[in-house]
Amino acid sequence: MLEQQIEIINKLGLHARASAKLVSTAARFGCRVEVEFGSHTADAKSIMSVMMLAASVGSVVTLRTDGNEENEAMVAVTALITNYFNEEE
Amino acid sequence: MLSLFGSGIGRGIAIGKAYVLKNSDIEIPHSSLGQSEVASEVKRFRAAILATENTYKDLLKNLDKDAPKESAAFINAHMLMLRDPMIMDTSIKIIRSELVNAEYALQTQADILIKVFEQMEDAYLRAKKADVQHVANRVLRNLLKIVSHSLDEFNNEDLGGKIIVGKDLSPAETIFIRARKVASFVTDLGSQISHTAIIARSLKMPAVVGLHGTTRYINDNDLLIVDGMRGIIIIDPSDKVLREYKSRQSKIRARQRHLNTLTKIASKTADGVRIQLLGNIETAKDVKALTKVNAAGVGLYRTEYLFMNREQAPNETEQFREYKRITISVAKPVVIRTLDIGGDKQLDFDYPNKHSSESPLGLRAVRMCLNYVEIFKPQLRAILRASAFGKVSIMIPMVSNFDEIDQVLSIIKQTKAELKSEGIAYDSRIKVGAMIEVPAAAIMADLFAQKLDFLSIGTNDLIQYTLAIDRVDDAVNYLYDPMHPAVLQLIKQVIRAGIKADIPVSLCGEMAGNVRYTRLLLGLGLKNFSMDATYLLDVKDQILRADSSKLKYLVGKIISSDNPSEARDHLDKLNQL
Repeated sequence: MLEQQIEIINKLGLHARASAKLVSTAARFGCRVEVEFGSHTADAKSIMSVMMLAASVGSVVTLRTDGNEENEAMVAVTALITNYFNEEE
Repeated sequence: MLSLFGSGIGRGIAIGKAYVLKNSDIEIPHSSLGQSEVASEVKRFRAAILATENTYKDLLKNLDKDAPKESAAFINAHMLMLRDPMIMDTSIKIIRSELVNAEYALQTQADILIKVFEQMEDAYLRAKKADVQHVANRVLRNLLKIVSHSLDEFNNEDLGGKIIVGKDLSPAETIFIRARKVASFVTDLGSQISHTAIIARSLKMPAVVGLHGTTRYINDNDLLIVDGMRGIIIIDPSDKVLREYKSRQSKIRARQRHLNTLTKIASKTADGVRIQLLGNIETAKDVKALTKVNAAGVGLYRTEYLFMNREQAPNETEQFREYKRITISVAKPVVIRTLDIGGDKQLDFDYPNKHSSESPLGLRAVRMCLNYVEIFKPQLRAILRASAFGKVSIMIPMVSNFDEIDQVLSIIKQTKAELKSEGIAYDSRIKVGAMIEVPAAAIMADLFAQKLDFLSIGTNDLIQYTLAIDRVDDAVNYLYDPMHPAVLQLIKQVIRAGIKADIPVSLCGEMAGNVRYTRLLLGLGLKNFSMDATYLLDVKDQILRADSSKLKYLVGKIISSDNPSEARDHLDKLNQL
């Protein structure tokens, strides 16, 4: 299992489209991917669950990957978040 | 056969089948299931999810090339939500455990999710509850076999050539009028000057609005004739009437062919006074029509349409690309009006401390921009950057005092300095002008003219404010009068101020495109008319035949007349000179 803390830096936080990208990315890998924020843990393959974290810009979340391809999944999700979800700011 | 009367728009005639818009409110049935029915109910629910997913896929596939980039992203997000365990699996659990029908189970779960979103602190995320309901409604429609019968992205019927019948159309719905190749529309509400009328004109589309409840006589697929000139609609016309209208339709087309021959002729009056005929546009799509009628440029580019009907403000880059694209494709001067939001034009997206007023006297246009500089500044940067690619001017809407002008000018100056220090190209001598649409500004036009490079008279609002008539209030619509001497005197005053300060004055309201007023405006000394491309050749036809030296006497009578019917007689005489 891998775990890492990361800050949400895109302006709108984990809104619908950013969540969609996160979920699509997580879904590419066989392992379990979780995002923890505050007292909630979201299944990163469920868009509702991710959106309900209400992680806005500046939130520090914990990413967790566990299982098959956990390394690759961690790299991909981290890249997405640090790249502002590939959105134009 | 039945005839209904309203307010007609456009001179054309449309003949087609009615398409009656229906409210998309969904009533959720609630029924209990027996254990034996559960399996088939779950199956029905899964089928509805699948059907919904397929419609999303179709939507994605058929997305208009010009659709905002975000549309696809939204559809993707909605598809993921649809398949999300918190929506799909939980609803199925509710069907099984509570023994209720699928619609009820789904809405129960949607309500729970919506509540969670409602309690979120972040306004943007809070607004996401709408997405949940959106997705749920999509599935509910499939479960209940409700076909979308409204103008929205879910309607995938063929609306080409149909005549839309509804209570009123929101600006969001009018976008679909354009995209779905609708032939015409008729509405209960609206007037000559409502946004629906303006859209119809810009689409060269005959329409009848303000039918006051009479559209309930129309059923889907009724054959309709829409006579924009007379403001009449005819339901189920007799063969004779239909023939008559078809022949009128061809006469109108013949007139259009005559007008087309005027395209290349220089626009000047019979006595040789050069008149500039410019176009009003809302999006890049309108440029083609302007080029076709050989307009001298764009006198009014309404940028607010780039901001409306979307969940996020267009950023500087997107705006810059759009302004640049338009500037290059017009290849003639373009006057870009900064964001004119408020009144009947509202933004969907949130911004910090969002306050939007629906009152025409509220925080709108430049007032709103100066209060939300974080929205205004990227627009100014984008316009300035586009000015490196053609002859671009900036026009500020709804100024009412000198402070506003000074503030705008200083923000522009500061923005230029920033661009310069970043090494980004822009036209350092870009012209800055203002819309004169508040009576205070018209009265003080002399002083405004000294601070600005040009003025443009916005008659729609100038009339509204001068005569104290809310343009969207049907009940006072009869008082809306472009011929009111107070309005004409103000127009004259602004034109004079421009001549005195030696700066151009244009007129970009609906009056500029109405041939009835062409000679009157010429007589008041107007040299620059800006209108929807639809009207340009008609106005040109008037201008070519008018002798401006002979207009003064009757125009003088009209603007000082204390008798409206006498003034109209004078106007008729003027138009027959």
